[in-house]
Amino acid sequence: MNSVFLSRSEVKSEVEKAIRGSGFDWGPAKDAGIMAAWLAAHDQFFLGTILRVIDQFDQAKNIHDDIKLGPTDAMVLAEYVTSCGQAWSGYVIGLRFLIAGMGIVSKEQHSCLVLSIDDKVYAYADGGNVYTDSEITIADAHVDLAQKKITTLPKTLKPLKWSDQTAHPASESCWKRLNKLAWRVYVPETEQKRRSGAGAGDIDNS
Amino acid sequence: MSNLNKEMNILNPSLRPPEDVMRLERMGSFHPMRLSFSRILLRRIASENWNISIHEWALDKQGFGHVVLTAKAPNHTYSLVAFSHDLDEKERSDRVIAEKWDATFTLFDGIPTSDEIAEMSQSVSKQEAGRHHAKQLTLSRANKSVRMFDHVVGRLAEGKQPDAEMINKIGYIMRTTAVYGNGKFGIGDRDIIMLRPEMQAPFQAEMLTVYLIRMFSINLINYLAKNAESEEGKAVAIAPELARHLGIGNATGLGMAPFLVHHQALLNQWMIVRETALARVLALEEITKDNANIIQHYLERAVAYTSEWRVDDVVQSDRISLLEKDLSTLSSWITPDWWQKSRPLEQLMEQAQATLSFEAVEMLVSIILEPFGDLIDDLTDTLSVQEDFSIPAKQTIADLRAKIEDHYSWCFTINTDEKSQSTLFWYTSEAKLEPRLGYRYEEDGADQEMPFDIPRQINAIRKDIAEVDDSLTLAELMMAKPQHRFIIKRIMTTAKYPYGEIKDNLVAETTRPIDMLRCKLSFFGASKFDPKSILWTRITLYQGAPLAEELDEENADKWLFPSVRTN
Repeated sequence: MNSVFLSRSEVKSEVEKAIRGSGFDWGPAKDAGIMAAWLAAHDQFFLGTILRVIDQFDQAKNIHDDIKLGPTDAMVLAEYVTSCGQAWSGYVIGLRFLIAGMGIVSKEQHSCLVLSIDDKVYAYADGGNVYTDSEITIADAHVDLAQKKITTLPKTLKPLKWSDQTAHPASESCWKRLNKLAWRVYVPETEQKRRSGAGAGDIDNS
Repeated sequence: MSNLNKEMNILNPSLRPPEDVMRLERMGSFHPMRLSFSRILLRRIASENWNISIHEWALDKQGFGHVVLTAKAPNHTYSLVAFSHDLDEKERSDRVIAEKWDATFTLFDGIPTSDEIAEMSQSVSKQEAGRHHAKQLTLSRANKSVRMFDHVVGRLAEGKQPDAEMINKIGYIMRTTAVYGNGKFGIGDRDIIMLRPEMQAPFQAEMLTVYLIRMFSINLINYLAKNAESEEGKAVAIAPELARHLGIGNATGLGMAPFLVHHQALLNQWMIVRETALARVLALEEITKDNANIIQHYLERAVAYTSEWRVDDVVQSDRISLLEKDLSTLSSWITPDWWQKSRPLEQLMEQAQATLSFEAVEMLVSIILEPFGDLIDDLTDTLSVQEDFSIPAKQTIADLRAKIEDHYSWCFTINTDEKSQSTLFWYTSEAKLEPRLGYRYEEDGADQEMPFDIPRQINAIRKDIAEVDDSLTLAELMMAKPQHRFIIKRIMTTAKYPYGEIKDNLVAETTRPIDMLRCKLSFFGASKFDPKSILWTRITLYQGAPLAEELDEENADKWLFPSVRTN
């Protein structure tokens, strides 16, 4: 598999456009870009989930109300649980994005969030420090998300560390697919526009 | 409001309010100032005594090949790697959508090895079409101003200095068409370098890139003149007083404008730093004669600079004519004892605000900040900010309504159903993914518009929450109506960063995007704004700035409003 090395800025921008190009509103699209960059910064895969969610959305358009899509809904879910103090239960597609949302919201809003699957703690975020199964092996699951401080973490949870990598590897073919999806937000160039942009009409004039 | 912003308001209760400052007409009248990013960089280079030198000069006699210039800061070295290309005349274009250039550049983190230079020689010349390395911090390209370039090289080769008036008027021998940073096309993210002291202020990597491109361009003309001399020893190097007036030109289009909309917290910091600096200076009970003399000196420089500032654009040309009259009026207020009044700068500014144009008032802002580095330079530490990604969603609909009333009442009188208030739409073009402006009722593409129609979104959410219970939380609202997340986040951000929202309808028929460009470019320290339409402008960076070999603490801050006449 050929790899392409990405900056976090590229990840954020391209994911945002791909999600927006699939018909999501700007707010959720921006959230998806932010969380994808967070995942890249923690050496976590993000591309597969994004492509899968876009595929599902393209096919179904209306996902059932009881199901949340990690890339587009996770930030709001984490904010919701943080703000109302009540647990939320439901099915999440793209669990790793929920973990990213927990990490971001817990850091910015100084909260503690617990993600459980079948009554077992799967991920924990405390003021931006995130602990989980380091491979995040479960893609989709019915989960419980609650605001709660844990004093003794289960031994299965390991800290997700900020990567010391300056560029993040991704599958070149998946990245090209994402580029293609992002392309849907671009508008074809017209000759009139080409003539009116910066530097228009100049060869050298001074 | 953030702690920083609260502190600034406490220290400076008399900031000009966002309702006055965040209007496009005023923002489009800003001038460079001592807190501009290029000024911040040169102050630091001088105070830390960086060593800037030519590390490698590998050009053939025609000036094609590569060059490495290094800038050694106390803890890091940065290298400008410049590739000079043999460009066919027919292929030279200043368009951002061009694909070949006279020279391409990258700012490299450290000193590149020969293998890295060989690799970059392939990728950097492709610019947007190439994939780049994370050790590259910026990516740029430039074209020669051929008439100027040929004149300067020709004269130097004959042992003569180039025409000073021509240098002053044009102001550069090379002009860039883009300087990319922060992770574009695979180059390094800003967060890799943002904790380094020399990179904490905004756009320092980009400003260093342009300063080194300028050094490259000046060395290149001396080198080519030497190679072109008709007999050994005839050529001369360009005189420093002329070289100093060669900056780097730039053609800037809409690519810059969305930044100001996307980065509310950053825009707020830039604006609040400028306004706080102004408030601190205006609050001075008295000023010394020396400082009064400095103000008079920069006013005289401003008069000379403005008298040479000639553009084809009719609107800007009219503004400059009015500015010249206003500067004359302003000069008449500078009597021998003007500075001996109580709070003299406040009085001067009040008089200006009451009678002069925005251009003149904002030029006065730049002038009166100049002598007071000890009082205001510390503010540059707060120009950068970490933006929030989440919303404190515990707040309620009642809170949201109050914030809309406080910060967005300017939208209430805009009838967004009127065609004239929704004429334009902003979008990203397929051509090099550049931002563009479309006409909604004449062109396709509005379905892909960027969310810059703020008044329409504000009015839509007001309507949607009109009947909603006050106690509902924003989290509950967004769970039910994710389509409002973008504007809710914007409202919450504006409440925290009140100078982070432009208070004009950016899709109205009368919108002049050039005002957004001018505002941002003034923060870069650009001079000689030369609008070519409402969509793009020419500018010059570093014209009048000290050369790298002469830069020191004495001269680092003495180049506002450059003119050969006031050199």
